[in-house]
Amino acid sequence: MIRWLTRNLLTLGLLLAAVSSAHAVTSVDELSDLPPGEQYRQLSLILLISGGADPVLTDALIPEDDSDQGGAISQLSPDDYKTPLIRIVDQESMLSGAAFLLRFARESNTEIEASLAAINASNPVLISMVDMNAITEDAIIIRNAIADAISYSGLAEDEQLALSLQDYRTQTIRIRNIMEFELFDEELERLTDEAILSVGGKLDAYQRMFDQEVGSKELDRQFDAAKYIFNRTEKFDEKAGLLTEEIMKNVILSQSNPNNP
Amino acid sequence: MENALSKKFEVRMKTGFQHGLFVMILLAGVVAVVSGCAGTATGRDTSVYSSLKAEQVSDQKSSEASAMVVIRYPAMINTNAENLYVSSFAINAIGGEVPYGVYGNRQTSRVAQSIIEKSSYFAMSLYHELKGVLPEGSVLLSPHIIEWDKERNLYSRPILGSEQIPSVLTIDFNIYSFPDVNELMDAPPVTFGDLVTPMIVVKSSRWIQPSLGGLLISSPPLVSSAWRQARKEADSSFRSRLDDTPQDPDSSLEFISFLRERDQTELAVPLKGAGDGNQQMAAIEQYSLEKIQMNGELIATLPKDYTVDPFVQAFVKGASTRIVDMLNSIDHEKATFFARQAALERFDPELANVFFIQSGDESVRARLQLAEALVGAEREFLAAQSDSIYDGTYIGNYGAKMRNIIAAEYRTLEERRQLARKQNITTAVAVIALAGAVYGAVASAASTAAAVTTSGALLAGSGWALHETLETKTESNEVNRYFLARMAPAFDRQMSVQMEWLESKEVITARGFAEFRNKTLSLYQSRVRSMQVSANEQCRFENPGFGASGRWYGTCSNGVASGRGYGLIMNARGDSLEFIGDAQKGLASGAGGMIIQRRGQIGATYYEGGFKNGVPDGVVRIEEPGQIPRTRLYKAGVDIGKGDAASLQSLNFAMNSVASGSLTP
Repeated sequence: MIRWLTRNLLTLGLLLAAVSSAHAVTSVDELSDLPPGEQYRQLSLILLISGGADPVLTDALIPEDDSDQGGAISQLSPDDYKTPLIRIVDQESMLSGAAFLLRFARESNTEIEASLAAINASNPVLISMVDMNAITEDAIIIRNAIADAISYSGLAEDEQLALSLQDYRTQTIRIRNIMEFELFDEELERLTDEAILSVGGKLDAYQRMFDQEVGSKELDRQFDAAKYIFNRTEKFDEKAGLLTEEIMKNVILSQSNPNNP
Repeated sequence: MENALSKKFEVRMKTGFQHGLFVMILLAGVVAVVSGCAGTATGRDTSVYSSLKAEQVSDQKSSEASAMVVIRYPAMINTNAENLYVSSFAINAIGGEVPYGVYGNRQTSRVAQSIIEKSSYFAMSLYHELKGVLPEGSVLLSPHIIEWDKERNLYSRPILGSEQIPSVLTIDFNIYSFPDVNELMDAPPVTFGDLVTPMIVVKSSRWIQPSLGGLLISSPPLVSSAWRQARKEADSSFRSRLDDTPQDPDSSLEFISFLRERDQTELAVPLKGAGDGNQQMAAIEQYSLEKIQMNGELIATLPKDYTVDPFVQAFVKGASTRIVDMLNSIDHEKATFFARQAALERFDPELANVFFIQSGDESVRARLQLAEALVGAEREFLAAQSDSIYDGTYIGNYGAKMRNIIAAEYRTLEERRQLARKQNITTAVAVIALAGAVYGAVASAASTAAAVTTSGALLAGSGWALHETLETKTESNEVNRYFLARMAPAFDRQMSVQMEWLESKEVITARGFAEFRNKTLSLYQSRVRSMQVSANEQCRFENPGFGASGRWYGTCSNGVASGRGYGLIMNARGDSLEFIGDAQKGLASGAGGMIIQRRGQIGATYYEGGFKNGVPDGVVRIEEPGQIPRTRLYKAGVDIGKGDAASLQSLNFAMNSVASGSLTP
């Protein structure tokens, strides 16, 4: 639990660092100095945080012509965001940071998606190793923090904004559910593969046992016997006697088998 | 065979022939049989479906839990059921009357058993073909074992859990042969050598063709019993939901339901031809009984090379094309809606009730996604088991034996055809004897496994051996029987291997499946969250013509239906009403679909569109058996004229965004 909390607080810090740095980042290109994995993480995070935030919500946070949108953020160190205290005492900064982030995500959505696709195409192995669950967990914490900040601010008293906020919260729950489903599905797939292999293996063994027990040569021999009996030659009696003996042995053997009472 | 010949003889004696001319009569009879059947020993080259143009299956939105096709077929028989199965088979002969004396013949028993053997084999061709054209894991096999008990009489039950998986279509498949081997070379339907007579019944959910209980295609002899079976299942399901009575577990194969019946009336169920112009009509498409002749060259080389399946060319390719057509014309969400609900009910009754509401709430969506993934995993497991059955049956030992049998039968038939052409009476007598001997020279085996598989083994041995006989000197039937009786146990052992394998498959798979289910259910229960939506289990549903004693599964307010859900009600006469859609104050109000089944009536009436105060109101589509569905305008339950189809409120069975989402941006 402590480990989980620590990890999430760190993630929050990273996320808010991303948010705080976003005031200076006016385009996706400005992230290009970061390693590809980190670029991918930050851009994914931005998309996940902004998902389900409709324009009503975004525009209500800070008027669009507010040129001082980054001011509050710039006065904070990223470390400040690591502590939950900041979310309690400095709601205004929280809101302005969120407003900037959501608007940035909305306006640069195409660019962000293109950039993610490009990173993915250039580094498929690296990106396949990115822990999306960790990013999602971070995004869920930030989304809840943003939603709570809006609730505390009194903005949600507006009916339209309350609905938008509710949608945003629902989207957060959906993101959590999808993340949980993916973990569930992974485990289910493992159990399914295991069960298929297990049953298949038992049946294969059973089939092999039969194959060994009932060689097809024996059946061919019975066919030969049938053919011989019906195509009599001068040596019929002699050979038929031998074959009949063989058949009878088989009859006794098969009849004495406990599986064929 | 002797009995059969005696029977013929007795019949002719009564017509006034001189006793002393017995030999001549016999020969004359043989000539008549041989010459008379010269043209009928052949079947038609291709199935009626072979002219259909193949299309790809359309990409329809459907649940991960659902399969597209489940193929049900007879694969085994319990020893207890054998006698009744054989006598029922003789009594309910398709294509003619069977003399009473034939009922107890060993030959009849062998033919009855060969139906199970060959259905099992040929079903693999259908499976393989459909598997090739439909998405991975969407075709499941459901082999059945035929059983008997005092309460249920003759019935069949599935040996795998495939039928618990929701499926768009269910295909009942079997082949058929007329019971009387004396008529083997004559007109009746037969499956022997290169001749094959397939029978099918294709069903979907009742909501796909509500007026006819979801029956879509049927071989004509099975139609009446299939309808009765569909009604029985629907009634059982209805009563179970209405007053919590246990549901009748019978889900017998249509062929077995048909055999179980005695002196039941032929019902006037509306039928339509496969290529008729009236495809819009609410009727069951009949797949006429076809005695199809497969490619002889392919049959002759089957034991060595089975890369090209002659049954696929003759029937399966066309039939699967028809199945794909049907899949493309059916709303998959609608077809699987109730089966999905039933599947959920097995492990999450709370969700199963809420399912009817079709809620878009995120908590419901998330839980449903988990639940459907669970059923989807079961589908995947059963698809793997189906593959394993295919491998074991078609590619394995059993398949090789069956191909030997079929090739041997084919050689026998070819020989007979040549003899018939030459009118070689002496040899023809031997050939006629052969037909009976092939099916009947060996005592029945005792064990369950051997009982099922004996016939196939005997066919392989006897067909082959007797064919060889024709090239030399024909011995009497006594010799054949003596020989084959000696050979029987050896063949039994060979073929019982397959049976034991199938039995082991049932046991191992059932055990594996149960274990798998426990694990997945435990995983499910550890991950599900509570839902923000609930459905009152004791909610009332009413209808002006049926009273107020109905039950509602769905949104409920003050104890009565209010919102989306599913309601059912029955009146004192036994007429039933089912409704799915919106309700207000306990009555159907808003968009919905309603099935009304009058007691004793063949088929139901289905309304889909607008409703108000429990009756149709607004534009409504009406489907009745034997008629083309029509769009009408209703006001307070009264038909006031033609309706505008564009204004019809179609019933939507789709759930809200159940498909899995992805976190990857």
